[in-house]
Amino acid sequence: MSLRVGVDIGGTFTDAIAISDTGEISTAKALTTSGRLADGVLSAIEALNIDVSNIDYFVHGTTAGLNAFLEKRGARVALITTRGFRDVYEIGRANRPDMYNLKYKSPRPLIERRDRFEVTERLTSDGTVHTPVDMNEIKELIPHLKANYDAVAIVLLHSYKNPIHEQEVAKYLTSALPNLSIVTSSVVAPEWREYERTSTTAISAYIAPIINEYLHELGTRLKEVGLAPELKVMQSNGGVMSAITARSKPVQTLLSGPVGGTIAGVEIGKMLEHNKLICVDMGGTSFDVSLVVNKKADIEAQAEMEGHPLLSPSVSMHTIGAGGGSIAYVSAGALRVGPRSAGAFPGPACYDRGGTEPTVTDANLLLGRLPHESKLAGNMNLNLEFAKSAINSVGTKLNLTTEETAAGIIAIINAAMANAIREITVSRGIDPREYSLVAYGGAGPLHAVAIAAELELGSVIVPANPGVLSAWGMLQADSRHDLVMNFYSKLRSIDKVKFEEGVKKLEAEAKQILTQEGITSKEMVIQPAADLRYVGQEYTVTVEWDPTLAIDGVLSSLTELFESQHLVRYGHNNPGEDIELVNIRLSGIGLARKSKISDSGSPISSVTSGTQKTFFDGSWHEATIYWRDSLEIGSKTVGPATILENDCTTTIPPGWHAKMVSGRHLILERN
Amino acid sequence: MEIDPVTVEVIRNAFDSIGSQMNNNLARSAYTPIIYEMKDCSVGLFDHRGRLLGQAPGLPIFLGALESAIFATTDHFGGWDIYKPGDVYAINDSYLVGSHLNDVTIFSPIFVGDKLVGFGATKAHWLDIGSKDPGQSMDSTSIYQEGYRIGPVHLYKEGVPQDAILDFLTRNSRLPRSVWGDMHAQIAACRTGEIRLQALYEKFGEEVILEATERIWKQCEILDSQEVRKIPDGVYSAEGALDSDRPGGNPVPVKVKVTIKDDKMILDLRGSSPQTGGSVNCGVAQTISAAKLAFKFLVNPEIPATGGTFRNLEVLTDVGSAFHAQEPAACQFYYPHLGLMIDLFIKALSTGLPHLTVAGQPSDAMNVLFVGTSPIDGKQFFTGEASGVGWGAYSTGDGSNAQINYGGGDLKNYPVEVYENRYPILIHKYALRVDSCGRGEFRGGLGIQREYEVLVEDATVSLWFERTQTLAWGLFGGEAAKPAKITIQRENEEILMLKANRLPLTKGSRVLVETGGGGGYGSVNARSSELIENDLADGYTTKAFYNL
Repeated sequence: MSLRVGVDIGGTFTDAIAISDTGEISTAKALTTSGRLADGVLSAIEALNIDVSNIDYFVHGTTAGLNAFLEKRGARVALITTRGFRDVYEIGRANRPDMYNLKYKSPRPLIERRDRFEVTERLTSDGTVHTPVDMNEIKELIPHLKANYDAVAIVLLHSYKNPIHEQEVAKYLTSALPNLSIVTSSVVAPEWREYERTSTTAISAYIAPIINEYLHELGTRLKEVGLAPELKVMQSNGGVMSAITARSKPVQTLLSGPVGGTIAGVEIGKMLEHNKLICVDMGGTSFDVSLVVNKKADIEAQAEMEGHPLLSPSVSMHTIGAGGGSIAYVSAGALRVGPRSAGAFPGPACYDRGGTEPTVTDANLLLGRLPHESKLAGNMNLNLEFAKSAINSVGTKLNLTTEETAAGIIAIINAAMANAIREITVSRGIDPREYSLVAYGGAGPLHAVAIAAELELGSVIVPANPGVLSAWGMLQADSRHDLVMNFYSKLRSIDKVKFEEGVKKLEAEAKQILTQEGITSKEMVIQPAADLRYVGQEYTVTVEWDPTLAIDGVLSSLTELFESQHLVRYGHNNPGEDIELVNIRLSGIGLARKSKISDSGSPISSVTSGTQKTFFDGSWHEATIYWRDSLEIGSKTVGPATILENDCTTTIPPGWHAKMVSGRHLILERN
Repeated sequence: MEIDPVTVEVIRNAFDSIGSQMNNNLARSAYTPIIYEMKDCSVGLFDHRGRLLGQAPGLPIFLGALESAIFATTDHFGGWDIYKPGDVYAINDSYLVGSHLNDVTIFSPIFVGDKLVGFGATKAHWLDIGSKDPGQSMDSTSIYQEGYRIGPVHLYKEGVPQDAILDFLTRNSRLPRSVWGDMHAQIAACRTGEIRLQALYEKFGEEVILEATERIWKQCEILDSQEVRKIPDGVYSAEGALDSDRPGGNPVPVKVKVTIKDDKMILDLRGSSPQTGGSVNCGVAQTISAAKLAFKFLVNPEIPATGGTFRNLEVLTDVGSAFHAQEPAACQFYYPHLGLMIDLFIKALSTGLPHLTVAGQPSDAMNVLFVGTSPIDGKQFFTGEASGVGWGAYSTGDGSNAQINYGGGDLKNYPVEVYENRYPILIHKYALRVDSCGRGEFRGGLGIQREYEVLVEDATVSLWFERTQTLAWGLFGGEAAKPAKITIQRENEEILMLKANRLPLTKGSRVLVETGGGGGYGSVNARSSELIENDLADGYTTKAFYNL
């Protein structure tokens, strides 16, 4: 028997899932061991109770880099940049998103001014050498770099066009400082805009030594317990890469956490034949939304982390502060909820850990949506009285009854989540009503139907194993490498030979990386794309083309696709206007071997576990409680009902029902 | 009618979310960097009487400037009944809508059935509207030199494009394609507002939305009243002057008197400069917008503005002054005296609100504009960008380095690599300006240095910098900062000047722009040795700055 194993490190729990070649699934959770993440990974694997030597594929989403970034515990990094420009990283874009704040501070650079060094050199905007690198200046820096730093970031102007100077400096530093991580911007993010590229390279250097050490330790310890295959790592772009590639592009691991859920959405979409899905992950403090369109995750070329820009293709994820722990309060006679969260400590009032402010979880408990007997995270008792007094502390100020206040809190948080979904759909010209909602995470399935109703969505999918969905998703992810080449030209007057050469060069590079990762050419898919805009515009639309087309066909299809996508996205276009190409992009994909789906082990008949008075639409209803394990394939559960499983609760309001389908996913629809 | 607080909150969030969707749509599909990159634009959603429902963060100096376009149009054509579904209007007349002619407001009425329920409105900076010099002139003396002036006019009438006006607007710009693209991006943004507001009406119905709107406005009014009451009653004053109203022009005095009585605030600008012979002038609508921005910096800055905000603010101006200009005053530089006014407003109130205010900043226009012929296509190019300045220090911290002025908000700088790809100019330096801040227990932020070399023969440079007379002051013992300094190296000649209109340059000429810093807060003697050591280690200041 061979096993495929996925492990996802979350804020509280490390989730593991193992799938056998016959499709049998086992799952486990272990506490995340902050500071020693490898311990949590090994405990979770141990808890799976499997023979490690049977594992033939192991993929892992790591927060090692993200935590180092968020907690500002990264490496000591020096920056080497073009003479005259060491403050680019600090000046940033000079803007103030928090616009009425007289005391606004832009994000603090990860590299202080004293650690930023200038070297005499210059390229012009077409990549030609204006002033050669003064290598003597670099030589003089060596003793200082050696004594004080773990990593060096090299960012020189116009290196996205021509990496020659960065390579020259990097080559020298690598041999002179073999123990330091040397990171160049032309490798990490070969795109124009010096501030954004510096920020990306700085983050990369900041986490590089930590990722290296973490992957080394984890790899060694997994080998010791008998793991044979090479470690694979989840990337922000929704693909997986080998641990070796991860070491050279550590920045790609940064957003790997929530991405597993989106990739799970891709697979669920394929299984259930849904082309348009909104994936929502609601936990204790945050609500993450992402889209799956035509069986693909929606990926953007640029992301942002706490105000630091990141030129790294990432699944576009909109996050707001809304979760079970979001706190309700009164301001100028109005009821407000979040974004402040009670977190795990003190947590919602009903946790009985000293929290007194009312939260969304308290409201769910009072309204019976969380059955009074339920135990969160498997073993935590909930205190109804504490929840009630917390809710009343707000309700009395507004002359509302307990039920009205609790229902109000839920309505407000649902509306905020619906608006978050609108932000990434309606605002980009996407009509959410054509989509189905995939809900997971501890609290997602509690709110899913209400959010769907608010947005007029037709159906909600609560997938199998919603509590460990990200880990499951990682096992479904393809290998993926996104490459980019700056290529600035009008489409009309493009140099076709150079353009084709550019595409071929990226293709060869992608194939080489995939081959190194053990992917055969049969499993490879190459997808080229172009960043296009009207001359004069700044934002680009990324348009994919059919790689089997000849060059003339490519160019004419690009014009057509760009104009139609511009119209769909922004509501207008300008046919006949000159279009310019900014970047060629190319994704090299190694198709994953998919797990078999097994419906075995399903019970014969549905077993109820009592009833619970539950508040919907202004009155109390008697909701039937079911254990999810007891629902058979093809069964239909009519609301009001509550479906329980170990780490998650699904609410089915009156007027809705849930069908259990193959793969053990629940599909909720209106009667 | 009875309406629950929950519905009110849901509707309030929807209004804000509609505003930000309109804004995204505009920024993402606009043609000119000044809109998409620098966000020199503003969008808003209004009720059927032009009162603000939701506004997205755009350029804060336009806070509350959009409704004046709706009011002026309604007055001009004779009442609220003129609007028909499918109408789109444009207007840019400075005396009616306030700022310079480059800022074109486009709005459209929103109908549910045949009933007018609101308006979607956008204002955006068009890069060229046919002024006497490309882009903008630094030395205009009447509005007739500044480009076309559009009174209220239909772009679309009941869904039918008005080809004659569209042709006129594009034909008279040096950048017809950009005008066309930006205009359609603005129309599309209005349309986004229309679709979402109609959906909201469909969901909640008219009665609920109107009642919720009243409640939302009332909440804002209460919150503003509470905050103003916290300021001790009294009269707070401050005055200063701009260096000049044009290159080689006259100073522009600005007098700010703020009266606080209970929950009311009166901002009295009477006695300030008469309208100037240069272009430092604006329509009163823009003065009221700037006053709202000044108010918002100190009163509930974290809460979005609505039709209920600013009800306790009154603004007084002299007709015919720089703050309330009349025909034929030029209005290109509508911002510098407003920037100084905001700065003085904050200074005046610092005795009443010492923990909320900040020391002075050089809040001027900070424009550097090169014009020349591109060696690539032989066409005329012109640049345009804003520069950061140092911000004032405050009671708990140093001022921020290198940020765009008060009016700018999410306005961004122009990346060196993008700039060099677009224009035949090489940038040799982009750095913080060491020692440019005012000393104090907390020092001001640093200005910037940016050095340009022109690579073509026929280029010119236009400049607008300010505030060497009324410096960015310190507060409570803090010291004033260094003002801006522009050094031009042309062949063997070194020229120092702050304002210029199309000064000819030769190939290889260099222009070094150094912007001013922010003022300090508290006495420098109280600055901790740790902060001083950090300043020296990072090289933000030299030893000489601290007399060491």
